[in-house]
Amino acid sequence: MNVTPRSQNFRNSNTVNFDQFPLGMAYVPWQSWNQLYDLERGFQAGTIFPELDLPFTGRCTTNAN
Amino acid sequence: MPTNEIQLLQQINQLSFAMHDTALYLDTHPMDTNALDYYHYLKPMKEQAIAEYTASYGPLTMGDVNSNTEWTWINEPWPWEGAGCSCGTMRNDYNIR
Amino acid sequence: MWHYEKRLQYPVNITQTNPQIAKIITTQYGGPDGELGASLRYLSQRHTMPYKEAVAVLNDVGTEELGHMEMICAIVYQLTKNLSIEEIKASGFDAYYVDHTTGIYPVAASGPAFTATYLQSKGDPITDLVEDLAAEQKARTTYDNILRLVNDPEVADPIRFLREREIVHFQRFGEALRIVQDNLDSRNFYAFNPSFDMPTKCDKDC
Repeated sequence: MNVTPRSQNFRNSNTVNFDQFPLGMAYVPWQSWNQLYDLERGFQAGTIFPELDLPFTGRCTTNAN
Repeated sequence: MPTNEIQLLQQINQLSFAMHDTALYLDTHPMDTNALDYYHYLKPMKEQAIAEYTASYGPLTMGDVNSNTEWTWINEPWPWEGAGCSCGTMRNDYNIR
Repeated sequence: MWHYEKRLQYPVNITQTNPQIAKIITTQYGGPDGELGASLRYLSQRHTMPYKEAVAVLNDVGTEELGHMEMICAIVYQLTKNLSIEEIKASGFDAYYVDHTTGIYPVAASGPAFTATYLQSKGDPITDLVEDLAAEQKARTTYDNILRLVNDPEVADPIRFLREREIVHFQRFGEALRIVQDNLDSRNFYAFNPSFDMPTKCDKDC
C-alpha cells in the first residue's frame, strides 16, 4: 500500500519520490528553513527565501530561441 | 519627507516584511524553531523602529495616536499618495465662475 | 478583525502619469485574477477549512492580498493623477473616464466590473486549496503579462514585488494541501469531505 509520507516528517524533498505517492492528487514539495536573504535583499526580491526567488525574464527572450 | 523619516519607514517596511514572510512559513511549519527564532529576533527591532517613527512623525495605526490636542491619525499623506503628493492642492485648477 | 497600518507593504512612487497602462493594471484590482478576488476567495474559504494550519494560511494570505489590492489602487491612482482631457482622449482611457472620472473602481482591463463569479468557495478543503493554487498561478501570469507591457521602472518595481508574492503564496497553499493530505487516509483522499462529513458517526446505512 502506497502511503504518502507525512509532511511534518520530511524536511528535505530530495529524499521523497513523488512518483510513488498516491495517484489522483496534487503535491507541492515541502520547504525547509535554509539560508535567508538579508533584510534589504529580501524586501527587494519580494521574499526572504532564495529558493522561492523566481523572477520573470520573459522580456529578454524571443520565441525563436 | 525628511531623510530620517524615509530611513525609519524603510526599516519598518523591511523588518515587517521579513516577519510576515516568516509568519506565513510558520503557518505551515508551526514547530520550526529556526523560523520561530528568526521571528523573535526581528520583533523587538521592528517594535523599536515603529516607536521611533511614531514619536517623531505620527501614528501608523489608529491605536498609536499620542497627541492630546489634535487627532493626528487623519494627517496626510495617506499611503497611496506616493512621494509626489500634492496634498491639499486642488487638481485641474479651473476658474469656476 | 482587521487593523490598518498606514503604509503600503511595498512603496509605490510613480512620477510619470500613464492612463493607458493604468487601464491595464486596474485588472489586478477588479479583474478575474486580481487581488480583490483573491482576498475574498481566501477569506471566504477559511471558515470551512478543517485544519488549523490551512485556516491560518487562508487567513493570512487573504489579509495580505488586501494590502496588495491597496498597492494596485495606489499604482492606478498615481498613473492617473492630474490628467488633461487631451491625455484622456489620446490614451483610450476615455471610456473608463466617462463612467468614473479618475475614480478608482474595480473593473477588468477588458471592461467588465468585478463579480464574485471570479472566485469559488467550494467547502471542500482539497478542492478549495487546488483552486487557490490555480488562482496564484493565474495572478502570476497576469503580472508576467503586465511586465511585458510596462516600460516605466517605477511601475515595474512594485509589480515585480506583487508577482513574487504570488509564487510564495503558491508554495504555502501547496504545503497546506500536504497537511490536509496528512490528515486523511492516503488509500483514498476522496472518501469523504472533512469539512462536512463526520464518518465516525456513520450509521448502519454507510
